[in-house]
Amino acid sequence: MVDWHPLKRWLFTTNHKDVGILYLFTSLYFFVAAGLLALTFRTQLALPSNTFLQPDEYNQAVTTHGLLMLLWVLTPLGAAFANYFVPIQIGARDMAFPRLNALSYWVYLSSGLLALSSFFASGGTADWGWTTYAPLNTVEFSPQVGGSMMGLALMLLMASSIVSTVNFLVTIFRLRAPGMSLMRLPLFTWGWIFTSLLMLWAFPSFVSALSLLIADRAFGTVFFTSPQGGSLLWDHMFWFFGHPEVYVLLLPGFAIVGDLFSTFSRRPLYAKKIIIPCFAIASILSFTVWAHHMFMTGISQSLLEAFNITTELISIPFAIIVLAYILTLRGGSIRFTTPMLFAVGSLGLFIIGGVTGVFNSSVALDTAFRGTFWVVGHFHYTIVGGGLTGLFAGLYYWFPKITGRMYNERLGKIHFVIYMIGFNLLYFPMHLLYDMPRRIFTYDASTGWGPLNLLITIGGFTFGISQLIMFANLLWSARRGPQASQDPWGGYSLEWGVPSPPPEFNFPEGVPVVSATGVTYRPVAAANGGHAMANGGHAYGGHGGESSEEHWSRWPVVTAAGAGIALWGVLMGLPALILGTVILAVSFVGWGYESLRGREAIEAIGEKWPFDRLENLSLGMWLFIFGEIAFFGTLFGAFVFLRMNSPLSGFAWPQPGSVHNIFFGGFNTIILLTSGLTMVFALMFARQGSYRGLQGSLVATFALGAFFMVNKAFEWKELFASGFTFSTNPASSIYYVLTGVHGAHVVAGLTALTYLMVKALKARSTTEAGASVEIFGIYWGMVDAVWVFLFPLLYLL
Amino acid sequence: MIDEAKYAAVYSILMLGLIVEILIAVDRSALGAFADAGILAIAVLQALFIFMVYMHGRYGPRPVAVFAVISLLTVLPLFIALLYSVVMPHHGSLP
Ligand code: HEM
Ligand SMILES: [Cu+2]
Repeated sequence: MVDWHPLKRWLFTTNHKDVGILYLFTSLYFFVAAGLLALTFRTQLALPSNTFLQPDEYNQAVTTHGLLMLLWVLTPLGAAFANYFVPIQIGARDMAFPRLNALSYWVYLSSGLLALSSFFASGGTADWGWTTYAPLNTVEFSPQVGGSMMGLALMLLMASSIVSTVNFLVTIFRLRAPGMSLMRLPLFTWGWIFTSLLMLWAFPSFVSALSLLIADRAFGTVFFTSPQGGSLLWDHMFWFFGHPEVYVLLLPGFAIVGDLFSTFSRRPLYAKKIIIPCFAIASILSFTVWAHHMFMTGISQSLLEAFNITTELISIPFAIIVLAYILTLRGGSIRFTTPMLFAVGSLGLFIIGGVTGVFNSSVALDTAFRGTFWVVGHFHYTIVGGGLTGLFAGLYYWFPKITGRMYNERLGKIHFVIYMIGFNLLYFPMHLLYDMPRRIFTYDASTGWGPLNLLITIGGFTFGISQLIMFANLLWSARRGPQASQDPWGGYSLEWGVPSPPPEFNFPEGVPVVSATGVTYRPVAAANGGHAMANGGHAYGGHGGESSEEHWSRWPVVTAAGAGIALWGVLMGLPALILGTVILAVSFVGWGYESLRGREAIEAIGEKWPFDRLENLSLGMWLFIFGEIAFFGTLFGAFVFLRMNSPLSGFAWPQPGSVHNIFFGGFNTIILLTSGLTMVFALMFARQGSYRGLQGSLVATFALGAFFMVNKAFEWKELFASGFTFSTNPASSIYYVLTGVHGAHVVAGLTALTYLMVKALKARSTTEAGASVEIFGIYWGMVDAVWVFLFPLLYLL
Repeated sequence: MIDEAKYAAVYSILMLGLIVEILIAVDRSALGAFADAGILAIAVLQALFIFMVYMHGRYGPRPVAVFAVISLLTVLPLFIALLYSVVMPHHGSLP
């Protein structure tokens, strides 16, 4: 079936399984890179007063290790499995938006390359620790351009994840096979729902924090360099993202553990009806605990107590889940295969990490542990022990499904044993070093920390080398291993009901129909009540006429390359910036011209609760708007913080009307709100079938939006001329960032409007344009709604 | 026709809100300490109208309301904590 040139296949594929494999290889590549970094700085720490690394090299190695592992390894490794298996587990042919899915992958790769290239910038890369604390992240302490490049790489990665998140949520909520109710979803898919929701809300706030950081570093704003913002502002913005982020790292692996416990003990998951709400509660609570990373920042005692309590509360749902997992095993006939061993290991290590976490949650104890190796031990037990070990369990578990071959069981077990020994040698002694600061590049022999550090380094190398066993095993077995059957484990989720590896559209026998008694496959026409399917009548199994070629798109990779080059150019010079922008522009035109047939089509059948009434695109747009709300919400939060903090820190915020012209701002507000009105008229005309009305309203919307931007530019110019620049004070800094990002949204909207106008012009029909007009209308309404807050905040208060 | 009237009505409300906001800002004496709160309340109302009438498309305002409430709830704690961490007395840094 796949007889096209391999390079073409991997560059242009939009198939979810291919994208999953791309994610898998790329994340493992970054795993090796980040692991090697860890071994270099562990070598440095092995002996007292060692000089293997220079202080600056040490800082860069630690920083990049952390960022790469968290953001470019763990989540993408989860994404690899999610890409490959979530569509199959829900009974779909592919993702809701396959091209966007490919785009997410390529942008991920491009962001990773940008991050790696920052190493080679003069002065090296970011050296402020993964938490990027202010003021270490400011130009004063980290002038190197590589730091800013890492910041931009992180922003690009966040963009990729947010797009992917929207895609997954629409897919899971709208493309489920008949009978696949939400409660019947495997735990892994559930875990990915919560991971996605966490990413959707937390990642935009990191983007806001990074926007302020880049503005500080590249344009001279004063968010983290002034006493009004400073390190406390960064702490809040970072950890509001950072704590949900650590659950993003945990949940995929943690969910796999549950599925594996059930499969390998041949028992249904104990109290699944309770486990899933516990996941939900933990996810919600994860947004209310972030200040447990700020116990020592000097903020009010009562605030600390509140966060002390929420942090202790959040261990309750986890404890319940752990208990339910263990009870699943009770009375089962447990098979200790390699995946199951890793699953058990993951749970055990996670429990240790959870217990040390509860210690940290006490303000009193944390005062002693803060900033020491104890904390490093804690979070490696949870993230590596819980998260990564669970993902490795998944890797062994799904290997036969992906490759159609069995790995070597004996080597797998050897890997497990050495993995566990290495892991505990590496991380357990860190708890005994509860008096050693975590951010130092060397120490004196008189401290007595030498022997434990040597032990840790030995553990580190053991742990690292154990992975080579896995790589060798899997690489060899993928080619030479014995053929695997369709269902070697007796798994219960849908992927075990299809061949290994699954064919292009997953279900060769027709639509899976799920019921309490099991799964049956129905030919498409029957399942669909005899009607042709929304995608033009192609067979569900994909053998009926839809060729692989129709699933190509060359634009995702081009767009991602353009974005990467353009961002590189922002820091490294105009030629690259122009080149990147041109590539981006060309790719956008390309996206517009590419036919959508057979790609983003939806199945007209199946389970869609609770979103039966929305279409895929509108649900996607709404989810995206969630992210936007978090993004702007965090920026507004920063505004409030700066504003309230100003009188306390000796800065008089400008009186309303003294800097900005209220009436001019009001006039521009009228312009933008009027464009909101013309936009809803466009939708109305599209529905009434009035082509001229539609075209007229779109043109009016465009003209008003453009006029708004012209006025804005004029305002900026005047302000600059009057000496109110990026760096004047916190009030000017936040003014330019808020109006700047809002303006960027308007410009993006105008670009999309141009498309709509061309599309309506070409189609000469209102029905075809109607759906896109509706989606765009939602976005444009959001742009208006944001401004409705910006105007009073910036001009009137 | 009904739609047209509804959209135009909301537009008038938005404009009215804008005018009242500016009037309050120009002469705060009338509302005194409540001037800022009044302005913010108007902005919230304006955004609500945009959300519920301009953005709901074909499927009615209910799902939109649910979406809006959920996403506001997620940023709310950040707001509260940001406010508190500046306004409440600091306990000072520890040794
Ligand atoms: C079971 C409940 C948990 C509790 C009560 C808890 C509590 C805490 C507390 C209070 C801290 C701050 C310690 C300090 O910096 O002094 C902390 C740090 C941390 N925790 Fe947890 N934790 C728990 C689980 C987890 C999990 C599941 C993960 C990740 C999967 C995680 C990842 C982290 C990370 C990354 C840090 C350190 C961040 C840094 O400063 O670099 N924790 N934890
Ligand atoms: Cu935390």
